[in-house]
Amino acid sequence: MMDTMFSSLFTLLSTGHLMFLMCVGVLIGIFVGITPGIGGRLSIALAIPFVFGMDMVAGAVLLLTMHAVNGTSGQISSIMFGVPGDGDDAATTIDGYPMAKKGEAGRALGASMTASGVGGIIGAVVFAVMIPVLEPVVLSFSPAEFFLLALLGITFIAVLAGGKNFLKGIIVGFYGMMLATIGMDPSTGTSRYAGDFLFLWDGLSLVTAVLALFAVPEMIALAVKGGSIAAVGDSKVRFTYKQIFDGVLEVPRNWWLALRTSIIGAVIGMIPGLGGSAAAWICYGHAVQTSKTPEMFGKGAVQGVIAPETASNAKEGGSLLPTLFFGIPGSSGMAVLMGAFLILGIQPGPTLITNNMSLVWTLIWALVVGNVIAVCFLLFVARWVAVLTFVKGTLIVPFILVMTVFGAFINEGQWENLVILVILSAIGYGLLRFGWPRAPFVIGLVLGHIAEESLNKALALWGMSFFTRPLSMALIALIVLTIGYAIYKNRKPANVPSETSLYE
Amino acid sequence: MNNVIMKNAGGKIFMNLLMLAIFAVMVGMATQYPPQARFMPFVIGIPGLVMCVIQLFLEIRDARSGAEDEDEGKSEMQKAEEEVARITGRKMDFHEAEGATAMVVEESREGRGRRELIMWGSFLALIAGILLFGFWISVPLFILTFLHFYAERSWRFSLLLTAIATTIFYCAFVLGLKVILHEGFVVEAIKEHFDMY
Repeated sequence: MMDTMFSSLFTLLSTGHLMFLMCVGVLIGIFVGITPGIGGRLSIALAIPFVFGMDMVAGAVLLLTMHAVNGTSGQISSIMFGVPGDGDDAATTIDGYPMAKKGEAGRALGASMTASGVGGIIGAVVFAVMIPVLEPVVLSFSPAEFFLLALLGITFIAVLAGGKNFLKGIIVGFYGMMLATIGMDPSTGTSRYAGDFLFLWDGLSLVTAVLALFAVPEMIALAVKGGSIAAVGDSKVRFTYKQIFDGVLEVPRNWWLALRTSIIGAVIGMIPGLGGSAAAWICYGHAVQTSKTPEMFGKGAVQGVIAPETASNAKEGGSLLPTLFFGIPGSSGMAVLMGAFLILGIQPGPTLITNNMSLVWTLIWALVVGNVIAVCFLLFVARWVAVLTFVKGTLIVPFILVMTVFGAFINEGQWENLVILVILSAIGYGLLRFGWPRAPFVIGLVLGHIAEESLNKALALWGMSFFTRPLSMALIALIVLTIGYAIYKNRKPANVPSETSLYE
Repeated sequence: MNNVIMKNAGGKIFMNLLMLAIFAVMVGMATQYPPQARFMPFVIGIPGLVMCVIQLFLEIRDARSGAEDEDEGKSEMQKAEEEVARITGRKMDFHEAEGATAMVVEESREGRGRRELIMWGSFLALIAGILLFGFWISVPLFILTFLHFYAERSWRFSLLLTAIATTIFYCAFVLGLKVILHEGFVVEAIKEHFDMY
């Protein structure tokens, strides 16, 4: 294992084009993180067509780095202007913005960026430590379990939708699975729902579907919403490099808190369904609870910046674990990332452990190195890239829409995909407009084929008795428990904020 | 306010009916397939149909009782205070971070329907333009008109951004990725007519 671990690092650092792609990923991730209206999921969806046909490792490294550093730059607008880039950054605003108002923007930025970097690295380490523990579990899974894992994945991701949206989440997941049945039936060769349309015989294009469900609705909603963030006076956001350096030193001063919240964040990331922003809020709460001066939180406590930032970046490493080893994405961003991995030919599950462990290690190292590059870069340029916060949404929309159309076309080179793009975009916009979660759709579409294949194999091997296998029964129990938990959570008066309610 | 809630409820019920219809049509079509081919559509589609019916019942019940989201009307910071208080069991005060999000200047809600129509119209025009006239006529035209009319930028600025973007797209897709893009049915017909291939 040690050999694979270090040779992967050496390959990553010594391969010019991998390092170049990682730097590109960092730059795009930073740009996406700071520009309002473009989320992490959207950026991955838009990048899928560009990595299509790319070498598996190169494509995965580019996408993962992009996704991992997203949160690191999102905090700039949270701290400097009190405008969170996305849900994960909302907790940072609570103390970061009051610090900036007191003239300590530099210190807050230094602390948050270093905390992000440290969190990202510790998250990757926690993932690495868990590999030998989980290896035997993953390898004991059979086709029967993989069918149930697909259902479990949809159940988990539906929990992310939260509260009253749970059932909607499951329906959307099943809708994705239903669309995955379009095309040739693998066992009989019958054309299902494709009729005489040859372009549908290979199934619905995953790239087109993801772009239609995420990119187009988001852009139309952004243009309809309109508005922009009003520019604030320069005096409020002026800071020196000395202040930033002071902030950097706050992390080693609060190392015990940073370590604890990173580990908590990584563990939360491993539990699919708890979701991205939960890590930041739980760790913020933990920092308040363990502080000797809890009354300072909300008024500019640097610990209130460090705790959520370490947690939200550490969870990326954690959520990669269920995504890669079980095919269950830990968050909605990971759901889109998993779709992209499948397009690149990366099949999550036991084969990854048996055949492609070097790829897993490369991804872990990409998380570490990507975070280091992002932090070093941002510490120097934060004050300049902050102006991107004020870019008006309507200026971004036409370019992203055009890229979406290019993406939908070039993936298979068929104009029919543009028609599919329009139809699915209308459904996607309806889902967005009326509060239906969209992430389960990707899981359903991605896992649909795997689920069908696994179900057919399981039935051929064991008949209906495959449900009574011990591991299958454990997974069924887990599905029932997850549904029970979602119903219980829905009945409680104070709901944990869901992705679609508070933060999306 | 009540009108807004009713409109929203109507939209939610419509969305639900749409999902129900999709599942119903797909399950219905699957009945024509051989047993093995229709197995998976049934395994997924029938529970999907049942869940849609349950969700529809819930939506109608909520619409009748006029149920609203309990977080409706609360600011982001109030929601954050409640969330952290729930985790820590301590009353929190985040008013110092309040006001920050108020800097987001949003346009009025009144013209929302009109803007939605314009946006969908623009998007459909882009797709129709590409199908008929190809990428290299429709894309610059779309960007230029969008920037000038919708984003309200000057002709000079819009032209400059359009030229830069088109150059980047051309370099990336045609020169870089060597993609053969759709030329458009009209353009293809003209080329064929004048024997330009």
